[in-house]
Amino acid sequence: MTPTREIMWNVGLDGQIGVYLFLAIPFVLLAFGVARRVWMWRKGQPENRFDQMSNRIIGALRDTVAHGRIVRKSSLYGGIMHFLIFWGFVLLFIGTIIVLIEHDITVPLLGYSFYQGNFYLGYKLVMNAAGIMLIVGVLMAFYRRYAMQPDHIKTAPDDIILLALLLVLAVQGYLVQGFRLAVEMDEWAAWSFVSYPLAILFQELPEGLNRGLHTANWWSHMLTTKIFLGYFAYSKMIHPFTSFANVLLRRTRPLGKLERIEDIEEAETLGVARLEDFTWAQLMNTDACMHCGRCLEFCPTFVTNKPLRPRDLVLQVSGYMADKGGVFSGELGQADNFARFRHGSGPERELIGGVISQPELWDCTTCGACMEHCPVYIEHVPLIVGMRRNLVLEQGEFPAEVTNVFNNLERMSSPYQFPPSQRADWTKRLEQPVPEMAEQAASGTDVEVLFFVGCLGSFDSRNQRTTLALARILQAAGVNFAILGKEETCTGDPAKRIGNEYLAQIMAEQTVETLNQYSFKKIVTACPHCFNAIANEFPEIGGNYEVVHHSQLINELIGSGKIRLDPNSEMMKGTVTYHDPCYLGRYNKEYDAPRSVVQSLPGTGMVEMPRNRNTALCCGGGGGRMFMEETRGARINQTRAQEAIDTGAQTLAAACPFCMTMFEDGINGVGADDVFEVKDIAELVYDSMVKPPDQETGAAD
Amino acid sequence: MASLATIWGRATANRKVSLPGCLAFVALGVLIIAVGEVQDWGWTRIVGATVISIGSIAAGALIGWSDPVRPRITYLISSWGKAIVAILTLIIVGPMLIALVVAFGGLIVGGAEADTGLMLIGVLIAVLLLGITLVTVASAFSLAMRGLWRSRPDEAGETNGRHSA
Repeated sequence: MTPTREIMWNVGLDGQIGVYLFLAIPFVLLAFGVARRVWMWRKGQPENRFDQMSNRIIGALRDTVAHGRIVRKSSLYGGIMHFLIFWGFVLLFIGTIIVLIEHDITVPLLGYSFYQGNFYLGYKLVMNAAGIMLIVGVLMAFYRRYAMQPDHIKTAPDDIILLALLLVLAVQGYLVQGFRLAVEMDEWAAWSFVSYPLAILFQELPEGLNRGLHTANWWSHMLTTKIFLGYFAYSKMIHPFTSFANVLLRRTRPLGKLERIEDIEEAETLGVARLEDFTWAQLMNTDACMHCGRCLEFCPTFVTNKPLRPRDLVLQVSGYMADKGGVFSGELGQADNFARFRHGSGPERELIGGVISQPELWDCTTCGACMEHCPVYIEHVPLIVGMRRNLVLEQGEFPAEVTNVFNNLERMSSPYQFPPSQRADWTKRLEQPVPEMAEQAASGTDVEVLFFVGCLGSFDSRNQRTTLALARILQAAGVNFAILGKEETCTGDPAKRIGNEYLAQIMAEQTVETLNQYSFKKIVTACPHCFNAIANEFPEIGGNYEVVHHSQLINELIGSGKIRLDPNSEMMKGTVTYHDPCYLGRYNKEYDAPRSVVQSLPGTGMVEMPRNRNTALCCGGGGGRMFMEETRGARINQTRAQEAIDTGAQTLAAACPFCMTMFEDGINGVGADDVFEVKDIAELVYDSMVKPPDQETGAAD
Repeated sequence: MASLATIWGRATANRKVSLPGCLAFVALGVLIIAVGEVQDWGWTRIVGATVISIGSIAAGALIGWSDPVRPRITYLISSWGKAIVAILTLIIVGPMLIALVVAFGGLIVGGAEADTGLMLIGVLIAVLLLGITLVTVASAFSLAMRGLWRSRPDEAGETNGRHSA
């Protein structure tokens, strides 16, 4: 006999009609839910997310179907759990489609049956295995929610309802199959390796009872499927649709680039004050969140117990959108309550102040940990900065400490109260002069490298030591370089991240205008914030330059032998741990060059902090936070400094002036300044290198 | 040729006409399937299912794409939430729980010629499935009940969609 089975075995005419008839209700509900979401997204501003479609499709398949962004080293348990649930469910769904094709298309229309023989046996094997995958995945999810209870996971009714529904669907499938096998007991029944032992048990029961239980369970399974489908669009189960759409239509521009407000002088609304001020893609972003909490795992505000939790901010916007959308147009599972399942009760609320509080907006360090770890590319930082822009530009509301920063930027072109004429004062402490671009251009001298010093490197006394060390390294290596001197201006990064887009644009345009006057091969900077702005934000305003971070250039100079490190150097003996600056690591993916530099230091061991590379905890200084008071929760810089101290290292290697400032304070704050120090990698290298005779001064400063 | 958006715009503008049209489509699909099954015409299943799907998806999309109307259905669902959850739970898990319990009857009445090893594996599977079903469904049921209590229309407005996470 050829292995196969009768589809719709033991199902009467009522069932045969019912299975199609009952499709109508869940399809109406599903279509309504999806259409209402798209209807809401369309309320947003236009944004082109339909370019590079082939790349988008490949990326979306890699990151979702193949789980490229879901199974990660930093969240392996959750990733494997999701893989099992997803593939278990998808395989069972494909199995259902195969049966439909056989029963409703190929046999009645073509008279052709493929659901038999080896195909059938393989099908049974795979379907039974898929059921196990699904059940194991669901049990792992239950274990995580109820036993492991990680801080970033908050269980909502919807989470458990869905898991229970998935489990029930799989169990029902085994039972229905078991009852049929108990009556028919095919020769090939053992291929259904889970249902078969159940069938052996059922076989001992009267056939009539088996048939009756089969019918009852078949109906129950069919109705459960329809309930599941109907519930689909109002639960987080919608995420295969919203998340895939979000990943497909993800940002393709560099992560570190914040969009400009075009024609800012003419814009009717500055920043985001209402739901309609977000772009449609941002609204879709908020709907794609399935509250997995990965954005929280490495978020400095979550770790230090501040009001801002990126996941909740996204869900609050999403819930607000659902409220505005009216009838249960949202997701059932918003944290503790059924907020998104309510009638439209919130249109009167203001977005800022009513839905999102100001402390939430101002706590963000824009470190990008949330975006880096979100499996579906939700962009939290642009949402936050959008609302900050409105607060700053339209409402004139921002932390008082920032007022001086804005004033100084306007008057002095830097966040500090130093006149531009003092920008190059640090050069007076060098043994050899540093030429300025204007002089070199006037004398017709070619310049290979433009050293963009940055505001902290120019004016802040601690960071000047880094600047001096780097300048001496460049001089020792014979690099042909020059600085802008008093012509250098802030790139606008702090103003942009704080939300003063108007000022940020002025600063950026001024800097590009200055840079474009000169000819050079590349720019080097010790500031990842300047690096990010020059690399990612200047091109769209006509500033196209090759820019490297000083860690990259130093690494290159060591590699090429232009800098020789002294194996007998007494400056560095001991262990160093390296902190990844967010704007170098997460935003620009440079993790290796600084490590390579540290590892090349003679007599120095390197130890990693538990949170490193893309999981590194922010120093707390980005997003303008360095200029603001930190009044809520624990101090981020102290938390990170303590992590560094706990490694047992004696030195923390920094590669960013913002991090330097934050850690100087952080180490003092935890009372470890006599046993632990922070140094920039340029200082570490300069202290350890073989110096030319005129630089025999010892330490970097 | 009119763009899809234009056609959709017209359809939504004439929702009063379009919606009954969609529902008529669903009814037609049901009729096709019913007649086909009675007459034993296999081909009508896919045709009827397609017609039902198109009609119901169009109806849902049409309502979803229109401006929100007075949310009476949500009030209704919220008011009857507990009863709905209880009934659905019974439909979903009642038959399977009976089946899993009855499975143990097979062990008791099992004949001498039954394969004991396989039966024991069957019992093990049945116990496992029964256990995990009871635990998961009980958790979901209690959470749904609690969630529904919190989402009652008269209380929901006060929470403003904020939560304690």
